[in-house]
Amino acid sequence: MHEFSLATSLLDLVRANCPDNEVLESITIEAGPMRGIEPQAMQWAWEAATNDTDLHGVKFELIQQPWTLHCPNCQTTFEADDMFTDCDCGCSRTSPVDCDNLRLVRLTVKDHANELV
Amino acid sequence: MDIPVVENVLKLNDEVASINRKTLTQAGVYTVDLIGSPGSGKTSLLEATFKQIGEKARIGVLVGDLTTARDATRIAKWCPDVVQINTGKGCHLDANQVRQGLDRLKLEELDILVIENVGNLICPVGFDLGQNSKVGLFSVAEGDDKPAKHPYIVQEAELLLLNKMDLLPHVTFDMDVFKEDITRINPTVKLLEVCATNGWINEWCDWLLAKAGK
Repeated sequence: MHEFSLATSLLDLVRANCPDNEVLESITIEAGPMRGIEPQAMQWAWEAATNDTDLHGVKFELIQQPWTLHCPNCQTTFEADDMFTDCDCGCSRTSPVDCDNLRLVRLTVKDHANELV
Repeated sequence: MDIPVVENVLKLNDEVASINRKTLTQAGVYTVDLIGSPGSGKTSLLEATFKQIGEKARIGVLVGDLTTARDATRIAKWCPDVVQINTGKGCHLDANQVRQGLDRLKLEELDILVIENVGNLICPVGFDLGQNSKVGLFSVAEGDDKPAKHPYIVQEAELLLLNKMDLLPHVTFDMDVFKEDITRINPTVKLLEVCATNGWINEWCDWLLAKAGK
């Protein structure tokens, strides 16, 4: 259950990046396939980690990135659903590259325009 | 309204890991994060390592487990510099737990530190602890498909060990599949075949001593 560790790490990071005068509505993280993050478990972990905190109720969005593979034969880089995908040139020695991202990429805060009405 | 951010989720862990790395480097300690499944033979490998090179290099051990001090008790027979870290419900060690463990060791007296991570091939891989290298431990009894199913350790490891080679004739294990999958995930990683319980670990010991400059 590394999802729970990630969720608790996220709490501090979100607090550090959210401006004081804003009301946070949702956060978005981006995860590469190497990280082995299970979306349902991550959702549950976020809810559990934020329960009884100032971030309770903040929505969580996970963007799962596809495998990015590099072909040593023709030097192309392409996206695939499976880690062991051969290149269109026929090469079967493709290797994953940049597949271990784990980044907080967006905070969505309450729109001030709505408050003026 | 969207506020774009680009921050590594494990930024705080990684900052503590950098402090650990600096502490260990300044003390002249070569540090290995040993990662493998429960039962792959991590503690047996360490016992055999002490038996073989315990007099050539002073090795300290941090042992991570959810509960019990059984591994630390086993290792303490060979080495006075062992610290057990119980993670409770945590499936991996993090940099802060290691930080606290380092405070309990006389680092300036050590040549090598092995961090025996919690038995798990997935969760520990993403957490930098401040090590010099990650070493992944597989065993033939687990099956030849483990690298394909757990690619992150294969990608991140500097060295992979395949343990329990004495059991090879008795288990279903296709060495070609195992090696081809590893090469495809990480073309440069080194793989050594070992058997900890029989003491067939010469190449691993040589690697470790060379890394520590011994």
